[in-house]
Amino acid sequence: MDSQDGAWSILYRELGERVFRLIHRMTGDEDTARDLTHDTFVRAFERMDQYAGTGSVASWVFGIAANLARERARTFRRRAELLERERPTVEGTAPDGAQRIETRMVLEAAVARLPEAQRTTLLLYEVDGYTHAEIGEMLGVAEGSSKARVSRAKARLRETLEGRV
Amino acid sequence: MDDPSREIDGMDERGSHAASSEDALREGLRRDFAPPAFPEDEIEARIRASVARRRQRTPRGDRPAPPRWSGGTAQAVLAAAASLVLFIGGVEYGRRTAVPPPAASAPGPEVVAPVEQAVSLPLSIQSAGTRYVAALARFSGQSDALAAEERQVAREVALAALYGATVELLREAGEDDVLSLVAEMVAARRGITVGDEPPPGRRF
Repeated sequence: MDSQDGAWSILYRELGERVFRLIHRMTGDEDTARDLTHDTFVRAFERMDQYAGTGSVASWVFGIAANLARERARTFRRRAELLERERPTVEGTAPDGAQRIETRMVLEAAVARLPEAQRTTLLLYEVDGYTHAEIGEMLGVAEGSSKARVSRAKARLRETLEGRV
Repeated sequence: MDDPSREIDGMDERGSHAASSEDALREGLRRDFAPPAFPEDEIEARIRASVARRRQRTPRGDRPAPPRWSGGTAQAVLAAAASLVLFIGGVEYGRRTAVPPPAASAPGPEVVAPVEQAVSLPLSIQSAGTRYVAALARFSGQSDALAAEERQVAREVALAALYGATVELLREAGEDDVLSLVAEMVAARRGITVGDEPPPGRRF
């Protein structure tokens, strides 16, 4: 390792994947996650002298990532609205393939309609497999808040999807 | 990422129906929201290129001035400085006073000196370190009573000690991720680049 690489390189190796997953779940877009993961570490490098030293470096980096992701999160919302508008109406006995597509779109739309914090927490926990403690650090919330968000998100999804998934 | 609660999530008092509904939901989520592969190398290469470009574009003199110190940060850095100075002191002292071990076939009175040094070295380091930390603690306690310039000088001394110690340790240890991080962060505080001398006008 070039000694000039130092700080950002260490941070990236330690936190890169979690930053990528966090941004991906907040924005719902893989390309955006790539771009913003890059932006997060470049910004951390540029602003290293602004790190206050009052919390963990990891929390500081996740904070940068979350702020960048929130700026782009509107994209996710727009996509959800698009899905909702384009959702096909399947009447009667639809072919299996069409039924599956509809089920999938219904689930995606339902997840997209969740509040941002619930959606991100749910997907980080259920799909990406992070623990509540890890998610708490990534989102800057207590472990209990992460559990509560997942629980509320599931309840909401069950209500929306009853009998459809 | 093991989480015991994940195993029993959904197995509540509502029974097997709730559990199967929970399973269906989980399966649907994992199917429809499967995570993409993490393109670690690709992103790392992009960051490396961006950082290199920014380093080329930003002459040292144009860098933003280090921010004002918060009390917590100052104490943390001072504590780190103290720890590193203690360690460096030991390394440097050991390097300067090192005596080659005597040949096994010719033990003699000279063996006594290194043994005594080995015993007294940790004590002398500990003593020096204690005095150093005590001085920093006094500084911290009396900081408000000092003139602004004196406080600034004291802080710069502490930072310079931390930076010098870190660079010395890097020389000693070769590549070390943690030391590199410390050196980079202190250098940023001081408005310099790792390996550079302080900007003109700085006394330390």
